[in-house]
Amino acid sequence: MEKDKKYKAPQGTVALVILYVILIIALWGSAYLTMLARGGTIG
Amino acid sequence: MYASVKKLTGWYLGVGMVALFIGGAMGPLQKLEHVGINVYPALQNVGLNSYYQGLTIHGVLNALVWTTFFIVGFLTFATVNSLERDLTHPKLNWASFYIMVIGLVMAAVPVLLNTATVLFTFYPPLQASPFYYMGLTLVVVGSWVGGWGMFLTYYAWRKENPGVQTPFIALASNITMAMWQIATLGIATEMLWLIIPWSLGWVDGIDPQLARTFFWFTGHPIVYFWLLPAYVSWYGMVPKQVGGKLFSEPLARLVFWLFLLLSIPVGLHHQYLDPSVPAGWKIVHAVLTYSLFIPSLLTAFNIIASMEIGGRARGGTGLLGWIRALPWDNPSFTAQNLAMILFAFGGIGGLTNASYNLNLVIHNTMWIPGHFHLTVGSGVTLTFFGIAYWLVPKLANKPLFSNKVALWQAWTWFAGMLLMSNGLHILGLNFGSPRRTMLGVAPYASSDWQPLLIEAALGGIILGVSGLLFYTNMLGTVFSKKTLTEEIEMPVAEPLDPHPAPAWLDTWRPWVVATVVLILVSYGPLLVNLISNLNLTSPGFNALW
Ligand code: HEM
Ligand SMILES: [Cu+2]
Repeated sequence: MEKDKKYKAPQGTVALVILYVILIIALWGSAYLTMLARGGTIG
Repeated sequence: MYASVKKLTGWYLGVGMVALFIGGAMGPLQKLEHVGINVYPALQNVGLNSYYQGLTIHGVLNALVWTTFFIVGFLTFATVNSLERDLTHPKLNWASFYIMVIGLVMAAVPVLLNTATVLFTFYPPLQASPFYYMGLTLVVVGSWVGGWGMFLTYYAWRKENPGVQTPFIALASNITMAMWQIATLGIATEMLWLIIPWSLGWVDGIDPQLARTFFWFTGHPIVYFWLLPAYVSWYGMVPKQVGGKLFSEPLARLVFWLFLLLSIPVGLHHQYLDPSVPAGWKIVHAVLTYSLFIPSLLTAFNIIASMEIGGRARGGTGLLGWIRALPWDNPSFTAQNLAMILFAFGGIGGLTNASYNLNLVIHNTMWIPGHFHLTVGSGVTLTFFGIAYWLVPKLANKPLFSNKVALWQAWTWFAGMLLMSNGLHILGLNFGSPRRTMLGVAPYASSDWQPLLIEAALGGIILGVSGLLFYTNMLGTVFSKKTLTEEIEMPVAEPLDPHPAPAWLDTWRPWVVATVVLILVSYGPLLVNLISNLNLTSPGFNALW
C-alpha cells in the first residue's frame, strides 16, 4: 500500500483512547473497591 | 429524490417524536416525586393515576416506541439513499408503518387506561390487559415487515450491481435490521406462547423464569438495535459533517458484523440474580459480554480518528487542538458529539453491570437508570436529535427553525444528563437506593440520599427544558413558511483509503451461520432445560395498581 507522505498517525485519538482506558480502570476499579469494602461476595 | 420514502420516513419520525414527547413528560415528574414533591394526585383528573402508571408510559413510549419508529424510518431512508435505489416494494414498507401504528394504539390505550401498569419490561406474573401485549407484538411485527422491505430492496440492488461492494451505510443498516429479526424471536415466543394465552385466560398459569429468559434473549440485543443506527450515523455520516473521512471503513464493516454475532448471546447478563439460570451459563454470557468490548473500543478509536482527520483538515493543530476546530456551530454535529461523550461513560457503567459479582452491588438500584440514560437516553436519543437536525429539514423541505436553539438543546441535554446520571449512579452504588420506587414515600429512604436525589431532580428538570427546546425547533421547522433554497443531501462519509474492503466483509452467509451457531451454543441447552421443566404455575397479578 503506497503511503501518503503527509499522512500522520492520529496521535490525538491515541491520547484520547489511552485516557479512556485509564478512566475505565479507575471507575470500574472504584466500583470494585466498593464491593470489596462490603465483604466481596463472601460476606 | 425518492419522494415516497421521504414521506414514509417523515411519518415514522413524526409518530416517534409524539411518543417521546408524552413519554418524556413523565421524566421530570418522577424526579420530583423522588425529592418529595408528589404531583400525581393532582394529575388524576387528566387520567394519570400513579407514579407507576407514569413510569410505564415513560418506559414504553421512550424506550420502545420512540426508538423503534425512529430507527425503522431512519434505516429505511438511509438504505435507499445509500444504495441510490428506490424501494422495490414501497407498499410493504407502508404496511410496516401501519402495522406499527395499529400496534402502538392497541398497546397505548390500556396503558393510558391504567390496565397495563406493568412497566416496559412487563415481567410476569404482573399481568396487563391482553391488548397491551398484542399491541407490542404488532409493533415488533411491523418492524420486521419494514426490515423485509429493506432486504428486498438490497437484494434487487445486488442483482443490478453484481460485483460492486455494498455501500457502507446500506450494509450497516441491513445488518442492524437482520440482527433485529433474529433477536426478536425471543420476545415473539414469550408473547405468543406464554403471555398472550395467559393474559387472555386460556391457560391459568405462567412460568415467570422462562418468560424472563425469552424476554432478555431480545432485551439485550434491543439495546444494540437502538445503538447501531446511531453508529450508522457516527461512522457513515459524522466524518463527512466534520469535513473528515472515515479512518477505516473495513474496520467499521467488521464492527457491524461483530455486533450481529455478539449482540444476542449475552442476554443472561440481565439475569445474574435469577435462580433458574445455572451459574455456568451466566459465566458464558459474562465472557461473551466482555467480548463486546472489542467492537466497542474499535468504534471509539475509528470514530475519534475520523473526527481528528476532519479537525486537522479544518486547520486544527497540536495533540488535541483539532477538537476546537470541529464544527461546534453545527447542532447536528454538536448533539452527536456530546452524545458520544455521554455514551462513553455509559459503556464504563455497562462493564461494571456485566461483571458478575459487581452486578450484585448495583442490580435493581438507581445505578441502572443512571446507566441506561447515558446509553439509550443520551448516546442514542441525543444522536437521533442530531440526525433530526438535518433530516427533518430535508424531509420537510424547510430550513431548520433555529440553529441557536438547537445548540442550546444539545448542551442542556448534556448538562442535565451529567447531573442526573451522576446522582443516580452514586445513589445506586453507595447507598443501594432501589430503582422503580416511589422514594418520596419510602420509609427507609435515608437523609443521606437527599443531596443526590436533588442533583438528579435538577438534571431531570434541565432535561425537560432541553426536550421543550427540541420540540420547539421541530414544530418551528415543520410549520415554517420558508422553503429550502437548495436540497440537503444525506451526509455520506468517504473512506480515508479508497480501496474496497476485503470481500469477506461484504458476505452474509458465514456471519449469519456463525450467529445462529453461537446462539444455539449459548442458549440452546439452557432453553431445553427450562422448557423441559416447564412450570406453568403462576397466576396473573393484575389488581396491584
Ligand atoms: C457498553 C456495553 C454495555 C454493557 C456491557 C451493558 C451492560 C448492561 C447490564 C449487565 C445490564 C443489567 C444490569 C442489571 O439489571 O443488573 C444493563 C442494563 C441496561 N442497559 Fe446496558 N450495557 C451496555 C450498553 C447499553 C446500551 C448501548 C444501551 C442502550 C442503547 C443499554 C441499555 C440498557 C438498559 C435499558 C438497561 C436496563 C434494562 C432494565 O430495565 O432492566 N446498555 N446493561
Ligand atoms: Cu444488556
